[in-house]
Amino acid sequence: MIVGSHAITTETLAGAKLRRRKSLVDVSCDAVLALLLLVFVAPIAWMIVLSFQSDRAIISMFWELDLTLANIAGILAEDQPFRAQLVNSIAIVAGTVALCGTASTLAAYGLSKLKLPWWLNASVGASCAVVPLLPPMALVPGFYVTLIQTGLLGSLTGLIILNTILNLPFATVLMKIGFDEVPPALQEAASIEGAGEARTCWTIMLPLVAPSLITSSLFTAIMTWNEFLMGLTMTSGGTTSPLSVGIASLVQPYEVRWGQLAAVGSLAVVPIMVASVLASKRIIAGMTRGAVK
Amino acid sequence: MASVEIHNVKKSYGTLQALHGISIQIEDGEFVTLVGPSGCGKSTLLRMLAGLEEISGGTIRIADTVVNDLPPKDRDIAMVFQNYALYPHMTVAENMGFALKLKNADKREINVKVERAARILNLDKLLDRYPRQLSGGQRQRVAMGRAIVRDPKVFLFDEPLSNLDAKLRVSMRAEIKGLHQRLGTTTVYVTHDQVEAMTMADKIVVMRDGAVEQIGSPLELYDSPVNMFVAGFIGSPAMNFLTGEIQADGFFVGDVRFPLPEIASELRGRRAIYGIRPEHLSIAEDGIAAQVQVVEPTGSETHLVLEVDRQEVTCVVRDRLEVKAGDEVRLSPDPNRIHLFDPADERRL
Repeated sequence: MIVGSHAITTETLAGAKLRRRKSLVDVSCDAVLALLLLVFVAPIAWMIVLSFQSDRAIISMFWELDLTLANIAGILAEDQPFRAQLVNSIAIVAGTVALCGTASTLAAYGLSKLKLPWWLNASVGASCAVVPLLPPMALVPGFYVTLIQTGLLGSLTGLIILNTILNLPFATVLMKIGFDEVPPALQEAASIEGAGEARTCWTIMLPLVAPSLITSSLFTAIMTWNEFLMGLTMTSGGTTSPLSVGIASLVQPYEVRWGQLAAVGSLAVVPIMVASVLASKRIIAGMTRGAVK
Repeated sequence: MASVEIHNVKKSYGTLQALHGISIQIEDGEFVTLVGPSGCGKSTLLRMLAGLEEISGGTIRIADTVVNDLPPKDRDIAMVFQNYALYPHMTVAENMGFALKLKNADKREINVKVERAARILNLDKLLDRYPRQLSGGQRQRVAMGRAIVRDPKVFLFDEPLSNLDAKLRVSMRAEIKGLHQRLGTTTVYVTHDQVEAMTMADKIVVMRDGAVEQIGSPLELYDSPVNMFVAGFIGSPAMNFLTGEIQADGFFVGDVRFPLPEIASELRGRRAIYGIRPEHLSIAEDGIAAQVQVVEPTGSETHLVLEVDRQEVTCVVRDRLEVKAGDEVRLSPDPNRIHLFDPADERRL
C-alpha cells in the first residue's frame, strides 16, 4: 500500500515536471536575457567579422561581405610591431602572475596564519583596501620617476613590477580568505609532527589554497592583459609596448585602419574571453569562498 | 614513554586568568583524563602541554625535561584533535607517514611503520583513500594512526570522540582504551563527558573555572567526592541534593526523616546538604513517601523523578515497576552511601 502510493507520487511529480508550460513571465524573461546577451556580444562578434573584411567593404555604404585574410596577414607581418607586442603582453602577464602570486601568497599566509603585531596587520589590511581606490593616473608620476631612477623605464621588468603593485592588494585579500578557511588545527598538527613554518606553508597550506591561487592568478592575468595606462606611459611605443597600447596606435590622425584594428582587437580579446568563460566558475567559487559554510 | 609533571601552571590572557596554578603528576604509562564543563580550561591545559599555547607561569616537565619553552615538534608528543586535523590532500598512508617523512626516514621504514599501525587500527584496506572518502569513525582512526606511527612519549587527545554518533563513540572508547593497554603510552585525554572519563581513565582530574577540583581514580571520585561539584559531575543520573538539618536520629528535610549513618556528635543541629546517588535509593515499604512526577524506562532500569517535600529526587531502580505519574512510592536510601556537604562552601562534611 505504502509502496504503491509512493510510486504514484513520484509519477505525478515527474508528469508535472514534463507538462509544466512556460508562463508569459518566463518567456518575457528569456526575451530580455536574449536581448541583453545580443547587446553585449554583438560588438565583439562584429569586431571578429570585421577582422576578416577588407577596408573597402567595411567603410562601404552597403552591407558587403568581402572576406579576406589580409588584415590578419598585415598585422602579423615582419614590419609590424604587433608580433613583438603580443610577445610583450604574454611575457608581462606571465611575469606578473608569477610575481604577484608569490608575493600575495606569502603576504596572505603571514596575515592569516602568523601571529603578527596588530598594527602591522591593520596597516597592511588598510593599504589593501586603499590602493585599489586610487586612480592609476595619480600614480603615474611617481612610478615614472621610480622607473627612471631604477633604469627600468621601458622594460618588461618595469611593467611586470607595476602590474604586480596594481594587482597585489586584491590578490592578497583573496588569498587571505583562502588561508583563513584552512582550519588552524592543520597547522598545529603539522607543527606537532615536526614541520617548520616554511614546510607547513609549502606542503600543507599551499595545496589547500590552490583554488584561491588559481582564481587570483586568473584575475591578475585578465587585469594585466587589459592594462593600458602603464603600458602607454612607461614605454616608448612600437615594439616595446604591450598589445593593448598597440591597438590604439592604429587610430592615426590621417587614417583609421579599421580592418587591422579589428584584427588586433580580436587577437587581444579572444584569448581573454576564452579564459574567462573557462574560468568563470572557478572565479566565482574563489570569490565567494568562505561566504557560506 | 614518560611521566609528565605539571607544576603550578598558570595561564592568563591579559588580566583574565584562565588557569590558576594547576599541579598534576602523571605517571609513566598512565591514562589520565581531564574532565570538566566547557570553559573550565581543560583544553587550554592540554594545548599548553602540546606547546600550542604559551605557559604564563609554572613548569611542565615531560620525562624530567622542562618543556616550557620547547616548540611542539621538540616535545616528542602526538596529539589527536577534535576535528581530526587530517591533511585533506594526502592519502591515509601519507597522512600517517607525514611525521616520519619530515624526519627524513627511509621510505621502506615509513611503509613498515604505517602498515603496522594500519593493521592495529584496521585501516590496512584504506591506505590509498583520501580523508573525504572515509566515515567519521575511520577518520578518527587515521588520526590515531598518525599518532601511533610516531611512537611518541605522550599521547594527547582533545575531545576526540565528540564528533561521532553515540554508538560509534562507545565502540571507539573501547578501542582507545584497548590501544592504551596494548601500547602502554602515557596518555592525557580531555573530555567533557564524565562517562568517557570514568570508563577510560586510570586517573581523573576534575576541573572547574581554571582550577583542579579533585584528582583520583574513577571509583575514588564516585565514592568520596570532595565537594558538591565533583559529586554532581561524576555519575549519571546526577546525585540528588536535599537541603535540611542534621539531627540525632537522622537528617530532616522539613518533617521528612532521612536515615544517617553514625556521625560525629558536633555535626548535630547544623544545616547541611544531603547527597544520595539515584542508584542508592531503593523502593521499600517502610520508606519515605514520595510522589512520582516522571517515569523514564530505559529497558534495563527505570528512572523515576520524584518529589519529596517540594524537592526533586531522582531514583534508579532495576526492577520493572507498575507506577505512573501521580502515584506514591516509598523510598529507602542506603545510609552507608550518603554524602553530607556544607551548604556555605559546598565542601564535604
